[in-house]
Amino acid sequence: MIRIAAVGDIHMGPDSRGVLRPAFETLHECADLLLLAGDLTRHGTPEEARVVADEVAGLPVPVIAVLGNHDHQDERPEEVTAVLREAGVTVLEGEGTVVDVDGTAVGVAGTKGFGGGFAGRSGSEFGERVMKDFMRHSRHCAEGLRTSLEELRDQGCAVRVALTHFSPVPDTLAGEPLEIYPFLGSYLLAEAVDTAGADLFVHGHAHAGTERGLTSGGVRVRNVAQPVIRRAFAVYHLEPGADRRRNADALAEASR
Amino acid sequence: MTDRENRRTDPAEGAVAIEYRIGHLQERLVHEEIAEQGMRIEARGDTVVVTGTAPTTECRETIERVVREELAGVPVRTDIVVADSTAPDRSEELA
Ligand SMILES: [Fe+2]
Ligand SMILES: [Fe+2]
Repeated sequence: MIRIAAVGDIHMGPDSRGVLRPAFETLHECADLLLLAGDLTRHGTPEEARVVADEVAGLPVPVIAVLGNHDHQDERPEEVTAVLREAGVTVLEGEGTVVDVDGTAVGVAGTKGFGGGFAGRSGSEFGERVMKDFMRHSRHCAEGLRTSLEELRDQGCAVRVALTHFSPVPDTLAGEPLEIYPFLGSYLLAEAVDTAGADLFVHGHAHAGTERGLTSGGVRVRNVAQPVIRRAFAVYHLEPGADRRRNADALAEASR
Repeated sequence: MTDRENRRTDPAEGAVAIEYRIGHLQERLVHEEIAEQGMRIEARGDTVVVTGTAPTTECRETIERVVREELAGVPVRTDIVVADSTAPDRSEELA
């Protein structure tokens, strides 16, 4: 069994130093790795990133993160990334990483992701330059997620997790005003994960949303924004190979 | 203008003003030092209700101060909780 701890939207600043550390220090008892689903800071300054870095430095489990929109506010995502990496955090953007958990290869594919909206109600790469740029960025993030999940499959990972900040499905946005859904996620992320396959999809960003959702392809989605999970982190238990078994069942069902 | 006409037009003007003031409040919360985007700000009748989760008590105080400043003269109710940073006591099985 693989135990995955995850939290997003911790929005740390100088006044939150040390707030999460006591809970994080219990991670070795209940989890094999910690995923951070973006919006780790408020403005994406290196100073705020240092607060986050100190909070997770030297933890007994691997820490894997993606950035969120807040971590881009100061337009220095490379510096934020560098500060986190110095503290031993693996920061992903359109790439994957493999963690060995007692001999089981656990792959995590990560991207910030972006908005645009959900199937049938999504923006398009059409019209003004800024609109094209907006949707192109969303598509680019989703493509990075798909290719990195495929790479993790080819590397023989027994468990694969998709990690983003923006949401792949509207399910986990329930509680947010409908009017802002296009700013909260994109169906392109769900399509990417349904194409490449994964055991779990973890995201944040929707503070007023709900924890549980499902892609059309049957991948479990969890919104781990801290205001949603109301804890320092959530823990999910996964059985290696469950994704393959589910796919085999679906194929058998379809061919019947 | 008669009194009756005054009564007819004033509430409408008030409603429009509150709508824009909520817009300005939302902008200010984002650009203030707390960069807060997660508050739900809604007009209910002539009262404005602000709900959401703040990362720390300091952030909550800042949000409440900005709300009071920006909506001075408007009846306001806030229900802002601070994020819970305790370790979880359970996990979810996703077999
Ligand atoms: Fe957030
Ligand atoms: Fe966000």
